[in-house]
Amino acid sequence: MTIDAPRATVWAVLMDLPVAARCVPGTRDVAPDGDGVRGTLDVRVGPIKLSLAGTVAVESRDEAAGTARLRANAEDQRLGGAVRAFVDLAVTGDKPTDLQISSDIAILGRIGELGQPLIARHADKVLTGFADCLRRTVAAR
Amino acid sequence: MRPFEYVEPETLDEALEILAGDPDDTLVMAGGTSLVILMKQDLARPARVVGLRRIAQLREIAANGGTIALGALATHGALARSEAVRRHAPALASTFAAVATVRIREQATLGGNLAHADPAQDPPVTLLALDGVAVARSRFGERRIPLDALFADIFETSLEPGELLLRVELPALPAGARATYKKFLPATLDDYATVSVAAVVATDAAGACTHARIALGGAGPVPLRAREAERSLVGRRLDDAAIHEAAALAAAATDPIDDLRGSAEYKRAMAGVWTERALREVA
Amino acid sequence: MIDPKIFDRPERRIDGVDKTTGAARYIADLDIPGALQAAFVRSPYPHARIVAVDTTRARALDGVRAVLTGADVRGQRLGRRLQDWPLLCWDRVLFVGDRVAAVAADTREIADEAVRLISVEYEELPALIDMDDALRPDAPVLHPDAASYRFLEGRGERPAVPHPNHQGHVVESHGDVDAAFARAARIFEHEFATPRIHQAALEPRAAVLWLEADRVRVVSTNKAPFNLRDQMAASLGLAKDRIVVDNGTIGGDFGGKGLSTDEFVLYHLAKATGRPVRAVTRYADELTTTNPRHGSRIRLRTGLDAEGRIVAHESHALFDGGAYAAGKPTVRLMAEGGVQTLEGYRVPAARHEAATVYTNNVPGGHMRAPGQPQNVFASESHLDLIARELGIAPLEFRRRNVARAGDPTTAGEPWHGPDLGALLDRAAAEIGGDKPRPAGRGIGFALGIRHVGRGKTTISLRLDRDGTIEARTGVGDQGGGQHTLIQRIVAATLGVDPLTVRVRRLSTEGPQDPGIGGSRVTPVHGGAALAAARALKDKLGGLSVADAARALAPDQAIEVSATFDATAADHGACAHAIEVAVDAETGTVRVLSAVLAVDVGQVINPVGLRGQLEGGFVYGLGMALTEDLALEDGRVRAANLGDYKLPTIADVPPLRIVHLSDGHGVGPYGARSAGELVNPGVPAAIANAVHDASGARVHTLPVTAERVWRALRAR
Repeated sequence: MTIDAPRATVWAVLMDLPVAARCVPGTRDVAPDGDGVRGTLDVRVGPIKLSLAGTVAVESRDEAAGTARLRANAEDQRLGGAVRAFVDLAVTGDKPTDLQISSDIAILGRIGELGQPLIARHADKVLTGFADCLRRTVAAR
Repeated sequence: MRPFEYVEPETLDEALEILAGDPDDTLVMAGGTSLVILMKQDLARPARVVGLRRIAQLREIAANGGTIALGALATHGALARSEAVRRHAPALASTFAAVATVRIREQATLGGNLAHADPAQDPPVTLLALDGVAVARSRFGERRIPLDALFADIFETSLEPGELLLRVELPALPAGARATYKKFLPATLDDYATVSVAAVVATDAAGACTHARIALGGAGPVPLRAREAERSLVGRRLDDAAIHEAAALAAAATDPIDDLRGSAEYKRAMAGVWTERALREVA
Repeated sequence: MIDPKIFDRPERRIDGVDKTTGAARYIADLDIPGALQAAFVRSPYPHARIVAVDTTRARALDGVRAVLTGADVRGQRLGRRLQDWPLLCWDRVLFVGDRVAAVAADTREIADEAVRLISVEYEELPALIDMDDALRPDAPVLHPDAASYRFLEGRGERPAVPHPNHQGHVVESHGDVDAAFARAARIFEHEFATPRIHQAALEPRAAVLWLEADRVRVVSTNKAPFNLRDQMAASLGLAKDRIVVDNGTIGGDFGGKGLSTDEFVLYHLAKATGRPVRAVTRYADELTTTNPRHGSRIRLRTGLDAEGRIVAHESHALFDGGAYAAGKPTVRLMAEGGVQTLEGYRVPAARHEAATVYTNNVPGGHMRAPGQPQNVFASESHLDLIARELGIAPLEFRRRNVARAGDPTTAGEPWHGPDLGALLDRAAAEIGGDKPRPAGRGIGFALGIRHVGRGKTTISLRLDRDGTIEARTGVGDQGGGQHTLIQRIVAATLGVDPLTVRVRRLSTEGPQDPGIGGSRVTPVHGGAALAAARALKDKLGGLSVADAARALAPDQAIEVSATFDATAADHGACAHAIEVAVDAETGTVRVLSAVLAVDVGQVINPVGLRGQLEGGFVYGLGMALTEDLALEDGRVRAANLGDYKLPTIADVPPLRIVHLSDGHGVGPYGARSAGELVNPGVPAAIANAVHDASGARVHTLPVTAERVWRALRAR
């Protein structure tokens, strides 16, 4: 997606984890946790409700290249399952700045019984919502 | 399963009051065939379940002239056997008869089916092709929702918290219209469709198509109308070329999910094949 | 000598009324006062090191009576032959679902809640998902301490294997194979693959265990209770006679319930709490973490002479054994039915190499005819492909190569047993093999043979004054009709109404019994029932049962006991002829009709036999067309029977079964085993029929519509 903002601004927002985390639809109780953040992500699919409590941290970053990898780990207390995701960010260009987001999500434990297609679809929606919020946040700076 | 409170209101208004009170942690149970499975797997953990079975008015099937209203609590089995349903469109009755197994059909309901919003289900596909409109009510009033606006995503409808489905209304079909429902079951016969197609057409005295509806199930996150395919038929004779073209357009309109029933590529191809077969049948 | 027509009259199943009226009591139904419920913490990773386990919150939960982790049972492992499976993992988890902790609580809900409150920190390790990866020279070794594992006594030590990630590895050969290949006019090579599939018994496995002063009492779904007792004694370090296993009603088995994993942990939970503890497996866990049929990859190579006769044959088979070998009871830790490919055919020289491999997938175990469906699918598809390449009709090619009496078979032994050629001919005739068919329809053939089992057991009979007879046996009845078999044989031999013969099952406190499995019950327990009945007849000295009974004093009874050792080698055989229609546009396969020509020798229970043959057909139908316990990154994708598709009655085609016997069955009254005879050949016959109908050849099971569609488009 393309954002009409300087690359430095986009990068700054992305690396400001508490701000970036609040951009994920369904998150609440976001608080710093060491170098990263912790919080809760509420997922609702029809009658199914999950509350994933976990952390997000920067696994690696290369500001010059404009790439970073975030690692998210969350557990659902109710079901006894967990989600583990790597989110890869790539920023190129400079006003307009192009942001590419890709993710590698592993669903562990009983949440997996929901069915991978459902989870993959929901993850897509979450990422889309995240990207939209990011754009708005950057525009506000 | 988490301990929960179970209430069975006697009237619709009572049910709506209860739902308005705590929409977030309350789930509605019609036949229970999907909900109870989710609850047993702990995927749904409501504090309260509202059972609708005492609200008899929601079971009614009422034909009026060429229109028909199907109560949300009518079971698939009752709908399949209903004379009124069969008179409206035999394909509608056979759609309800195609759901799962006899055990499910005698328990599961139309309203529960629509609210569950699994894109591989049978009734929504034919109801879409028959221009169905859902009627929903909450404590604050009633709303008419065309079916193609009811389904938002997999397992998601546009129903608001506190809203209950009352019935689905079907308008009169154009004179001479023919309808069919094709359920593609390549594995076992009790399964959800890998893809399914409902087609409704009407032609004039010259054989030109005056009315076309093509709806597809199992072909995307929601049951969908292949509108471009429909438009391609109107005004044309339903010959091989027209049907073939429409089928290709229908396939192109799909966004199938890769799952245990087949790859997206296969489902898309099958959407085309079964659209063609459906159209040949009603042409 | 009795008139065998006595067996024509349909039997009345002993367990029939209880099971159909709901009176039957399964483990989950048993009323055990004070019993706690168990639940388990399972690994979400296919391969990981356990860094820490925190049970604090679980222990604090009201109603939780005991919490155990791997540290509490360190060093204890279970298994049917090689005990390589930790009761609870203390170091590493080796598959998704491997158990890390156990909870005993007042109710199932509390136990499940406690499981959710246990947090485990894992360090993920690279997972070996693919068998080829596991067998690379530099592959990580999944069981570095294998030398320390107990190998249960019976027949020697664990055989050596070439690679540390082999569970078992065998090479068998006869004849000069290389020379035979060198002389062959044509040589063909093909490869085939089959997935894991599940036994899918209606009742998931369950067990309840409690401790008495000097006894450990077990009631569980294991269908070989003496074996379970011995395995528990070895794992837990207890004397065998301290453990009493008393397994009653089992709701289906199909091989899966030969492996027990709960009972061992239940012992520790019972010890920790002083109360009985019960575990009933969730069906999702039954499907995803218990011991399914091994997935396989089989490569076959066969050399033919100029007349299209087999002169040489070679097989390389890999079976995915998963994380533990514990589910396999044989000394070679092999899916034994998968070794001798081209069974039933004349094979002058053959070499077979087969291996079971450690991977980070769900552990494999025994399922109806272990190894054979994989074998027959590969073998019969291979033969069909060769026939077509040679321009010979598949049926004619089989006739040319089927083993006739005295011919060398793939195992190197001369063939003696059912007339295989006659069975093939009969099946073909019944399906109308020579009639021309409309386009899109085809016929496929397959031949399956299955050994008649061996073993030893003791059955005793007691005749009471009221004229009734009680037969006592250590074998259970998991729905296979084992008790009805015993009842019928005793009644027929003594000339009495079967309803006057009761069958009582004894616990492991009774005489030694080998349990159900290995196609042994008809020859072994049937043979013992026959021996006991004959012994009773002798003891009556010419009197009829009624007269002898009347002569008894009020508290008198006549008792006999017979120990029977079934050692004779024999086979049952089944020729399959199946007709299908293939919709070329969609790839959909519809089975139109099927014929089974079977030699099961003398039929003892006609209704039960139909159940086994028809049921075996449906079992094979599922493997052929719809069943696939697919894994994704080591995790089973289908966790319920809505996604793991079993055939319904609507999917079963018209099925005709014809009986043809050479009359030389070694079982009681000439009977042969039947339970595992039919399912192996069905997938092959269907794949062959699909090829005949459409030209599409599918080398991987199940033969789904999509696979057929892709095969057609690839042509």
